[in-house]
Amino acid sequence: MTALLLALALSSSQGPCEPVQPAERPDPVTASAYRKVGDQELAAGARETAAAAYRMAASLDPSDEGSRKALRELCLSGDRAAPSPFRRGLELMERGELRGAVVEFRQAQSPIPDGSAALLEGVCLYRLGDDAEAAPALRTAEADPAVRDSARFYLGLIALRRGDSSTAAPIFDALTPSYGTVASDMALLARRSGIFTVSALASAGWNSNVTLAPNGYATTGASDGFASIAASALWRPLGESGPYLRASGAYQQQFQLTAFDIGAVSGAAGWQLGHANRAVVAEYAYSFGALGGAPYLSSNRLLASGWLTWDSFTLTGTYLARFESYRSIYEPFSGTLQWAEAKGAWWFGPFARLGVSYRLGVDTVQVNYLSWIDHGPHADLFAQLSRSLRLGLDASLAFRTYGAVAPGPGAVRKDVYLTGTASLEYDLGNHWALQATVNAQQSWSNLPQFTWLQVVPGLGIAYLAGF
Amino acid sequence: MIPSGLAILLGLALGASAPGADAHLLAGASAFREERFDLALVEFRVAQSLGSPDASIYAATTLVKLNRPEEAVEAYGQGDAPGQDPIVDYYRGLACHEARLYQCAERLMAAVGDRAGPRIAGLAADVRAKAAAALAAEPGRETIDWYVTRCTAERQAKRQVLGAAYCREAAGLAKRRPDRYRLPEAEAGTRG
Repeated sequence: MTALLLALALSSSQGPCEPVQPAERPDPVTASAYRKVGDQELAAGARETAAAAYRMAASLDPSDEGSRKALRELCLSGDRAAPSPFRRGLELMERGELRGAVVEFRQAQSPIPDGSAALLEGVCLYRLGDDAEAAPALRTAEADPAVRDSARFYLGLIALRRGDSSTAAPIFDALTPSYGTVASDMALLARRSGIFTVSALASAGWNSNVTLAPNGYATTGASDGFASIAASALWRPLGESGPYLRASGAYQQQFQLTAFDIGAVSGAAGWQLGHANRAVVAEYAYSFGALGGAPYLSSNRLLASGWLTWDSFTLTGTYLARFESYRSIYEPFSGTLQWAEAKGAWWFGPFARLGVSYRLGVDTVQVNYLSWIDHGPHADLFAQLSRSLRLGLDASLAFRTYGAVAPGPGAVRKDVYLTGTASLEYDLGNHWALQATVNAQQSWSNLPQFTWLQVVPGLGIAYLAGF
Repeated sequence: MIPSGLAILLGLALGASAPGADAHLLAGASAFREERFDLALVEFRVAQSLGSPDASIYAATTLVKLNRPEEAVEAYGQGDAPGQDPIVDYYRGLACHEARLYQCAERLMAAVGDRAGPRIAGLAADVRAKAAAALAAEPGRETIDWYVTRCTAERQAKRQVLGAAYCREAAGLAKRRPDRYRLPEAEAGTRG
C-alpha cells in the first residue's frame, strides 16, 4: 500500500506528459486495471483522467507498451484534441461565426437530446434573423426544464419581432418571477408594439424666443407659451421586417403669437429588410405643413438607412433627400435638402446606450445665398434609470455656410448651432407615460441678426399601444 | 468539510473491501481530499475493478466533482431512494439536479436534512429550492417527451441506470398531469 501511495504521489507531482518514473516494485496485474480505467475514461472523452490512469499503468508495468503509447498520443495531441460539438459551437458563437455554431449545436443534439445545445442553436438563428428556423429549436429547448425559461424568453423576442404582441406579452409576464425587470420591461415593450401601433402626445410648454429674436435686441414679446398635440400610427403587417405604412399629424398652438402656430401631417410607406441587429430600410414620405394657419411647406422625401451590429456596437448609415416646395413668401426656400449621417452606438450593459455621429446637410434652393452646407458632430445618451424612469440626452453642433453673398449684409452668412435636449420619461402603466423635456438652441452667426438663443421646456403625457 | 466526511465514510468501507482494493480506496480518498479529482477517480475505478463493493459510490461522488453528472447518476446505481449516508445522498442529489432529474434531487436533498451538519443542510436546501422552482408548474407534454426521449437514448447508449432515471422522472411528471401523459410508457422504461 505504501508503494502504491508513493507511486501515486510521484505520478501526481509530475505533469502527465513528463517521463514516467518506474515504480519500485512492478505490478502488471494492477497496471492492467489502470489501463482498463484509462481505456474507459478515454472512451468517455475524459482525456486528463485517462492520461492519469495510463501514467500509473506505465509506471507499474514498464513493459506495458499499450499504456505508454496511449499516454504518448494523449500528450502529443495536447490541446489539439477534438473538442465536443457543443464546445466547438460555443467557440464559434463567441467568435461571431453563428452559422458554423448552428451546425455544431445541431450535431451536439444527436443521438442524445441536449436542451442547452438546442437553446444555443435557437439563439444563434435568432441573432442571424432566421426566426423561422430559430423557433423550432427553441421549442425543442423549451422541453428541457433546465433551459425552459431562456427558451421561452427568446420565443417571446421572436413573437415581438414579428409584431405579435398578444403572444409576446404573456410570455414575458410569465417570466417576470425568474427574469425580474428584464422580463417586465419586455412585457411593457410588447404592449406598446405590434403589427399596428399608435402613439399620441399632448403637451404644453414655453418658448423663450419664438421669433428667433437676436441676442442683444429687445426680446419682449418674443416668448410665448404653447400647447400641442401629436399622434402617429404605424402598420407593419409582417412585423419588424417587411413593408410598413406610417401616418402622423401634429398641431402646436401658441398662446399669443398665433402667427407661429404650426400644423403638419405626413404619410410614409417603407420597407425594412432585417431586424434590430442588422437591417436596411427604404422609405418614401410626403408631408404638408402650415404656419399661422396658412400653407407653408409641401415635401416629398426619400430615405435609405442601414445598420449592422457587432456585440454591443451598432454602426448606422442614413441618407435622405427631401424635395421641398415652400408656399407664398417662403417660395425662394424651395429646393432639395440632402442629409446624411454616420453613427456608432455602444450599449453599456442593458440599460445605457451612447451614440456618436457625424452629420452632413446640403440644402440647394432657388436663391444661391439661401442655399447652405452644414456639418458637425452629434451625440445622444439613453439610460434606463429605474424600471419606470428613462433619461435621454442629445447634443449636436453644426457649422453652416451659406452659398453666396447675401445682398443686404454684403457677406456670406456663416452660422454655428449648438443644440441640446434633455428628456425624462416616466411610465404610468402599460400604455401611459409622462414626459418632461428641455430643449435649448444657441445660434452664433457672423451676421448679428442671426445670433440668438432659444430655450423650450415642456411637459406632456403620452399614450402608446400596440395591437 | 465534505472531503473529510468522505474519508471517514471510506474508513468504514475499508474492512469490507477485497484485498488489494483498500490501498486504491485510500489513495483515491487522499487524492479526493487534495481535490485532485482525476487521480481520485482513477484510484476508485481501480479499486472497483479489484472487487471493492463501495468503490463505485466514491467514483460516482468524484464524477460529481468532475462535473460529469450523468455518468455519476449511472455510477451510483439503480434506484434513487435515500441511503444511510447523508453526504452520499447530497452528492447523489447534486448529480440528479445537474442531470435535470429534479424529482430525484428533491427526494435526496429532503433526506439530507440536518444529518450532515448545518453547512451541507444549507447547500441541500439551496438545491432543493432550485429543484422546486423547476417543478413548480404543471409539466408540459413536451417536457415529458423530452425525458422519455432521453430515457430511450440513454438505454440505446447502454446507460441503463441513467435511462431508467429519466423514465422515472418522466413517470413522476406524468403523474402530475390529469391526463397522465405517456405514464405507462415511462413506467415501463423504469423497469426495462
